[in-house]
Amino acid sequence: MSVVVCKELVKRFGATVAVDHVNVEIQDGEFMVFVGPSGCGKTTTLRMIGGLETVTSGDIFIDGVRVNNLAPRHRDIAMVFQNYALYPHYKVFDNIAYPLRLRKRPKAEIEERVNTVARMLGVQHLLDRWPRQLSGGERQRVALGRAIVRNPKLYLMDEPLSNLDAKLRVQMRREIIHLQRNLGTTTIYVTHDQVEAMTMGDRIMVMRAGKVQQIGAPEVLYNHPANLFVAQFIGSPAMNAFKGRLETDDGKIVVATEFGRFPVGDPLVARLKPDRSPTLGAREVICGIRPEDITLDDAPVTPASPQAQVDLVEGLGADAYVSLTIGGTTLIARTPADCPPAENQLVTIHLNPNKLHLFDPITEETLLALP
Amino acid sequence: MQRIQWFKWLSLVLYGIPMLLVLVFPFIVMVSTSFKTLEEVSQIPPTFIPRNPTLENYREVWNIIPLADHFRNSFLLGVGETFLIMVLGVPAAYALARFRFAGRQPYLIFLLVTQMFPAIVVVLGVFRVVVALGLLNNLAVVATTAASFSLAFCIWLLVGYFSAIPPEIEEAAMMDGDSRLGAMIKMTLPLSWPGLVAVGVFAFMDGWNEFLFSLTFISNDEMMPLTVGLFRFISRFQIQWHHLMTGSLLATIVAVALFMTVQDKLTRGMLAISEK
Ligand SMILES: Nc1ncnc2c1ncn2[C@@H]1O[C@H](COP(=O)(O)OP(=O)(O)OP(=O)(O)O)[C@@H](O)[C@H]1O
Ligand SMILES: [Mg+2]
Repeated sequence: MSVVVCKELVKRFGATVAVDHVNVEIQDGEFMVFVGPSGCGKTTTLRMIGGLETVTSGDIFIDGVRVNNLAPRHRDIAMVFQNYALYPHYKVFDNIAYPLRLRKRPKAEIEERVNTVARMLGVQHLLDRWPRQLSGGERQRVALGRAIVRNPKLYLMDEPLSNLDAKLRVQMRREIIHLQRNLGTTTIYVTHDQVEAMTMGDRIMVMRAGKVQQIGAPEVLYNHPANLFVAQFIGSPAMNAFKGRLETDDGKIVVATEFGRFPVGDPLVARLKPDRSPTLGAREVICGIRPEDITLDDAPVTPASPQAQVDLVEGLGADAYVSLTIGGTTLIARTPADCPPAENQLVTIHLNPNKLHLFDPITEETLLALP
Repeated sequence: MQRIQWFKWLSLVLYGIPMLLVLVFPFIVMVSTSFKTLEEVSQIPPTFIPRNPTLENYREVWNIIPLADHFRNSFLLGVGETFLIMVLGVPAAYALARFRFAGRQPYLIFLLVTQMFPAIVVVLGVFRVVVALGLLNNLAVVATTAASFSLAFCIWLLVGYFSAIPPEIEEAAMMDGDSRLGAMIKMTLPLSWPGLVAVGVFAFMDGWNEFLFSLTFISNDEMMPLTVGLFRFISRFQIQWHHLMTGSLLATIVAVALFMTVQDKLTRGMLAISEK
């Protein structure tokens, strides 16, 4: 059974449409990530699910019950806020105990639950402190503790790690994943960081300007983006994109671009959606390729092979990102760092024919069906 | 460094000390006058330290006017106004600080505009209403009228204090299981304690010092607050300076004593919040 269902969910703030007909189902026990650029409506969607924001139109169901007009406290949801929102006038212990106190749990049980949770999160030595005496990471743990001290149906987390430094963020990311796996509680997690989304989510919902772009597992989003926006939002560095045209060479389909003709792999051809344009030959496309699917060669294979000039090599330890110019197009390739090309050198580029992405130049939707 | 030291001293001498004298002088005169006889008060040149200090004034003031009643009435006005301001102002300010609704901005401006009217402009109109309702000599009416004048200012102050408390704290409380009212009472109100204290003190002082409406609406000696009671030492032909100053001194001492007793509690709450 799906725990949370949003149907045609809309939120307007005056003239701004913050959330635009969002449809999503979140399964029991799932870790769902909402991701998208700033201002795309992630927080607003989350707050509507939590009951902190009224719904303009559409429905929200939790466990099959329509909750549109239910006060937050009747929804049985715990939320973690970006700025922690600890209660400044309560000590850490009382912060974590607060949800239990409101539920009038017996004193002994509160004591025991708070201590268990504090141990779980490694904050048991902080229970007697005021929130202002904690570091950012400690505050975030306390905020998590306050959420998990009871067993709600659902956790909502709004960018809970964005105020932490990079190293702590990676650590807390793992802790949250562990915690969620162990508790098995359905979680909706909002972030604008696609790395966080990819590493944490069972499934990811990508949003843009209030609209859902794609919902799917991280691999699906990465390998089969539904449109150019998702293709370029997921993955770092972003997917290369350039204009091309599908043509036929000796019965084989190729993409003809400004800087060369590249074969399209048979598996891709098989997935090409039946198309309304009369002949394949006239099909304009936007072609996408991930940096790791471009390989570079020192020597030109034939005089006709496309040659690119190396602009910049950025070493990252294991890998290097190579910026290339070819024709008027800039491409980024990812190569092993042990033998990167030199800057200003000419290299031959190969695009993995089975890893091309093809998009409609106008709608920017993918032209490839899911395998 | 040298220059700054020198400037500090100069500003202290040129500004600080004269200001201090200006502020303290009336108090000194008040104290000194309360120990003088009427003849000595009107003597020229005036004496600074009474030649024949006397406690007679204190006994006379006590006997001439119902001082205890006056104190009680002033206190009731202070408490009444504080109560009204808190009960009406806190919810109004909370709504203005937390909710975005049509007419919010115009309403805030309207509140400010009401502050531009001097009370004296409306006192006659209000007086006729009070007479028509048969509510003369009623302290509650005075407190309500006075509160209606300071309410707007207090709401503005409180809106500022409430807006400074992040709404997420209340939202977190509501997610944790509080109602909005519960979240307001347990989160926003304690966190804006310094603001509530400031407004409460302001309202109390406003009631304690209330004069115009008491003078207009109250004719019965026993119902008068201190301000009006003491005012009766000023007659058309003569001002009973020695009695007036004695009464004023007593009123000041009692007000100060009142605040000294609650001050500890209030500031302790304030400190506890501001440390967080
Ligand atoms: N209370 C509000 N009043 C008016 N407009 C709002 C309000 N809250 C959000 N918006 C608008 O709604 C849109 C979506 O906002 P939202 O906070 O959901 O974005 P977000 O995806 O969470 O972005 P971020 O990553 O920056 O947190 C934005 O254009 C924002 O300006
Ligand atoms: Mg947000």
